[in-house]
Amino acid sequence: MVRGALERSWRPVLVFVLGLLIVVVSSPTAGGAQQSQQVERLTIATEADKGNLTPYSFRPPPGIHSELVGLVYDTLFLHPYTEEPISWLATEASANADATVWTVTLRDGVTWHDGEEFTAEDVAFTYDYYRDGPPNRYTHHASEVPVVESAEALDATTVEFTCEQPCPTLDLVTLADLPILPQHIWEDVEDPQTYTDLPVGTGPYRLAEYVEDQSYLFEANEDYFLGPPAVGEIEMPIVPDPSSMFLALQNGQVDTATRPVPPELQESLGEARDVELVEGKRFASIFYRFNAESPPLDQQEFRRALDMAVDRQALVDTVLLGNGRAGSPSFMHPDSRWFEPQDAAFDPEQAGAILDEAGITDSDGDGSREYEGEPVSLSIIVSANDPLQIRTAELVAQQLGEVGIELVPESLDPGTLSQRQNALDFELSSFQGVPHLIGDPTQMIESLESLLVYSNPEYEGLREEWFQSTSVEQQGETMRGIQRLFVEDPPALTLYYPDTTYAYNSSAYDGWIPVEGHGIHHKWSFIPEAPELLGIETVAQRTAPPEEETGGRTILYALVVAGAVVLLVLAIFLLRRRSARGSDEDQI
Amino acid sequence: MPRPSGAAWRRGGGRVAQYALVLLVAVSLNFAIPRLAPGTPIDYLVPSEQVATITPEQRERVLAQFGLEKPLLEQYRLYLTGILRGDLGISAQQGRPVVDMLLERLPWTLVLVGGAITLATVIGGGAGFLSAARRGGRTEAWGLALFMFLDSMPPFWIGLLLLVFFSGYLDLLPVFGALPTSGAAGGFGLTLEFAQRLVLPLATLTMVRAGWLFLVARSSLAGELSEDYILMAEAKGLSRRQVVLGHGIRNALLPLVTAVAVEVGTVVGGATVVETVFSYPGLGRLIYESVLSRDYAVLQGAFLLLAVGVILANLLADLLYPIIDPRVRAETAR
Amino acid sequence: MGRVGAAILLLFVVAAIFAPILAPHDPALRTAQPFAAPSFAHPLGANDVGQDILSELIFASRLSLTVGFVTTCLATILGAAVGIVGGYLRGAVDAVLMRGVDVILSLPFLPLMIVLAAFLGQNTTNLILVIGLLIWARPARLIRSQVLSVRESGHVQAARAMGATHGYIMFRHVLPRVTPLVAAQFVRTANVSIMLEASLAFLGLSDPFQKSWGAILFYANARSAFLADAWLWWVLPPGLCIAAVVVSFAFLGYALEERVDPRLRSSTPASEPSGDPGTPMPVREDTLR
Repeated sequence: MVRGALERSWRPVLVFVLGLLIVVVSSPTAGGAQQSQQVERLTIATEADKGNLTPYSFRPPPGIHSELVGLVYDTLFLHPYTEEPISWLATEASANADATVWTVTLRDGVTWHDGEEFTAEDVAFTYDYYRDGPPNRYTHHASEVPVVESAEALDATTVEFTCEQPCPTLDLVTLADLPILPQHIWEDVEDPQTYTDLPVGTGPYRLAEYVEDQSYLFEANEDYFLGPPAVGEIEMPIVPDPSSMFLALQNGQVDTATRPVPPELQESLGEARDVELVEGKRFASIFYRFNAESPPLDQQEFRRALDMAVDRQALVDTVLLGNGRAGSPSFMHPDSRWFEPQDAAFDPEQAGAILDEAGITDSDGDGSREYEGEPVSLSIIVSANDPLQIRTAELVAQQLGEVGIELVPESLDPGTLSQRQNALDFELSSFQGVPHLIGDPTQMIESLESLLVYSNPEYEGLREEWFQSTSVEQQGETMRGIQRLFVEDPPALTLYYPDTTYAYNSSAYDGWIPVEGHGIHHKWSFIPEAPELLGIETVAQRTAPPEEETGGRTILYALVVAGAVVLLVLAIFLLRRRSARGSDEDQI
Repeated sequence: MPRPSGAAWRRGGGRVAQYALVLLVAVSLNFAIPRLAPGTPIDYLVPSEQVATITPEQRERVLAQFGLEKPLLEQYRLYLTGILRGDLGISAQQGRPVVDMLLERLPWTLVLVGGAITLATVIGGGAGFLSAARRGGRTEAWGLALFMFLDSMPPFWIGLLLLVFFSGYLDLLPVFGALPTSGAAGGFGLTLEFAQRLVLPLATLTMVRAGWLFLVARSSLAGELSEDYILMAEAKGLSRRQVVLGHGIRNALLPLVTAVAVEVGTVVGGATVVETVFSYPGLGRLIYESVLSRDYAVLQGAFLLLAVGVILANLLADLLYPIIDPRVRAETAR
Repeated sequence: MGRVGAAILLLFVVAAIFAPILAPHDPALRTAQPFAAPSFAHPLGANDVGQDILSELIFASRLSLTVGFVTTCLATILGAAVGIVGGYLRGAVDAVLMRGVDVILSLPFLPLMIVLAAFLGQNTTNLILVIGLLIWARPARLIRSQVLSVRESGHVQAARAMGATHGYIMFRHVLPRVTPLVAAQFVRTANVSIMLEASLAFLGLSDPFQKSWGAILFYANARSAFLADAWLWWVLPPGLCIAAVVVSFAFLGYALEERVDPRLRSSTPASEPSGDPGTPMPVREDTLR
């Protein structure tokens, strides 16, 4: 009887062990290719309406524009801040000996969102259009720095560019920054600024819907030349109020926000469930423009003394709560390849000495210096909408007060600020540098005349040298020379480079990659091949190294299977022995 | 109530003519005022780094798109004739006709603002009348204190606190917008989503506006109820309720009606702050942003819309006065 | 109630006058860590650059009260004058005045303020001027509407029949009758002007370098205090101060109303003698008809 019971009992055990094996084997393997994750929809909150996202739909800051344009349009090379050009719509580019003529080969088989074929004609048309038409954020690449004399389609996939002067960085910078427009649509557009249709590009996303001041809706371009993007649909509600934006992120109404997380929120936001933070490496800077025509700012020594009297680190510590880096006279952003490190000397005593030597002294002992009989009093205009700028101005005023210079801050609404800046109706003006201005030299060189009104004979010589450089190395060398000059004669007071930390919900999507100059909210975060092309890790890859995890899992499986087998063998063995012993043990 | 006489019609006509004049003056002011502020749309159409490189020809071209290169009088003339045609020009920021932009925003604003005024009138005015009718006693004092306190809190403060509490801590309501961004189910589902997003801004705006209407209703009815004819009516044997409802409120309505008319006129501008806090796509926010970007066409159009609304509301109130309080009739009879 | 209101107001006025003595620190000095939580040395913590919030609050009462009071007086006097004159005289005078009121009321206030701030500069004097010169329109219209009724009342008609001049009637008969409404309007205007100052400061349209309660809230909101625990000590107190001052104006107004017109006293209905036997029930001609 017992024997029968025992014989019967090994069956359930066997079933149990088999069941265990099945369960273990069929459970999904974890780790592996995180980027092959397919997400249906993502919600990204953005802080401002940027129009219908053609290259001409400019709106003033804050907010991102070129990254959104980049979702819809493509450039010939990946982006303008890379070490080497990375092919995108173009596969290769080569220049002649003095870098004035470039031959560029385009990718085959690319189509516009409306089905038309992308050809070299579109590229040639685009560059002519930018060069000859109204200005936008990109046009200076074709009309000024450099001047692209001609862009000619040699055949369906080859374009020849001719620059007025040597343009060694054409492939690195110019071709990597300008979005290509479809000729079949834009050749009929007279006034680009009144073009209100939805944009047609070659990019990974199509702008399916745009509700002014409310939201954008992007749909994936399944026929994209690099394959369908990782996210099917992106909706972008426009949320101007920062508190609302981060509140929405905290309670899961949005999956990420394009506004950098302010210093005071970083701690508490990082602790919210599923919310992670990442440094976006978007080039940000705040600097003070001089009006070098207004005395005593017209004196180089005076400007230099101002530069030395500002304690930039204190600004970073107090206003940014440490989330940033002190500004450097080099003007380029420290993360840019063109950056030449220069120490911003904070030396109020030296500043005082320079001022004394220049004859700007405090003759009546009232604590403030005089220039030509009048007490030195400068006004600085800041944006009323930006409390960080206001606070910074207050602190800088205190610092300058300690060397006897009075600084009077004045806050203006953004419209008036803009107008006065453009009309040069100020003494000092707070200015937020766009990434492109401090990321690569072309915009900087152009702005040194138009924006910063910089005039220095030594600089003129270096500038000429820059325009005559026929190689990237030569240009780099000249840039370094220019930045060394800036220590002696700064074009502006670079105060600090704020960190650009972004927050995202890791359970919604974790394919974000920080790309220098662009942050994390750009098309490369949605293209599975991009991290490899750029050599950058996604946020998912950073936080959990997949190899170890896969390894761990395999070992675990092996252990479970081995354990199950051992148990099985043991069970059978024991049962056999029991039945062999027979009914001895039954007599208890 | 006797029917309005021929003289009354003429007076009404004269009144309308006066309002037309007011409209003209208002509209002209609306043309002038935005242009007072320094700056032109071009400062907003091109990135600062590029502005100094624009050639004069390019500048002309940009301005010409919006008719801004013409002399001021010419612009004024075009503006006026445009209004008569129903063409309010093109927005410099959006590149779209202003009429379209305004019509898009109008329903949102009407719902929010209309709803808030209605609720505020019913709740605030009703409570005010109640309080005046039952003077004395603790309920009146508490009611008074409550409404006074509500009336005294800054709207953006209440709005943000409500937002943090209901959306943040309780996670009950969405944080921003008027509609979900992408296709919620149509019909009832959509209405529900909209309602969810409307609750907080509507509540905030109502709370802020109800207090004043309470006070006006209360003081007005209290004043009426102290008049002798009330005493007379009570002496004649009418119940308190009949007296209050039939006589008192009728006559006390005048200031309340005026107050509501005034509210209608000013609430859109006042709703700007609430709209900004809740990212609600209304007219107030459009105006604020257009002022910042010196988008003259949008401003002119929006101001016009508001002016028409205010004047219509006042006209209506004026025409209602004689109906409500017969004593206010024949104005020129003296 | 009036006593409570007056007391609160007095408290704030005293605080404003004696601010340098009462405030524990100089609010312009950075005496703490930015965003410091409340502590013994800083009972309400510190703002985003490390200035003591309690001291800021006390000093801010000066600006907020000044703006509120001056604009309110300006607006109420102007509004009452226009309302009484127009409502009483009717005809062309009334038409012109009221149409002027309409024009002002049809101008959207906030955009106008933005434009004027841009044109004139963002400072306190302009703020007072602009607010005061715009908010008189509302009281004017309301007062006028009541004057329309009052002017038809028995004793006014009697006075006219007896040959009194317009001025006399307006001052001696109409004004006392509309005073409760004027008092209510004063309260309302104080309310509006203080609130406007706060809203404008919150939007960044007033001078951010001056300490006012609205400006404190501007920084609090801009530096995300609503999302952090800081809302308790940085957001609540300024809002409560604003509310307290406005409420105290309201209570005062209420008490004022009662004092001026004894028939409005919060007592039981007229069947019981009122507390002040010195006010006889006026005999009115219309009750004899």
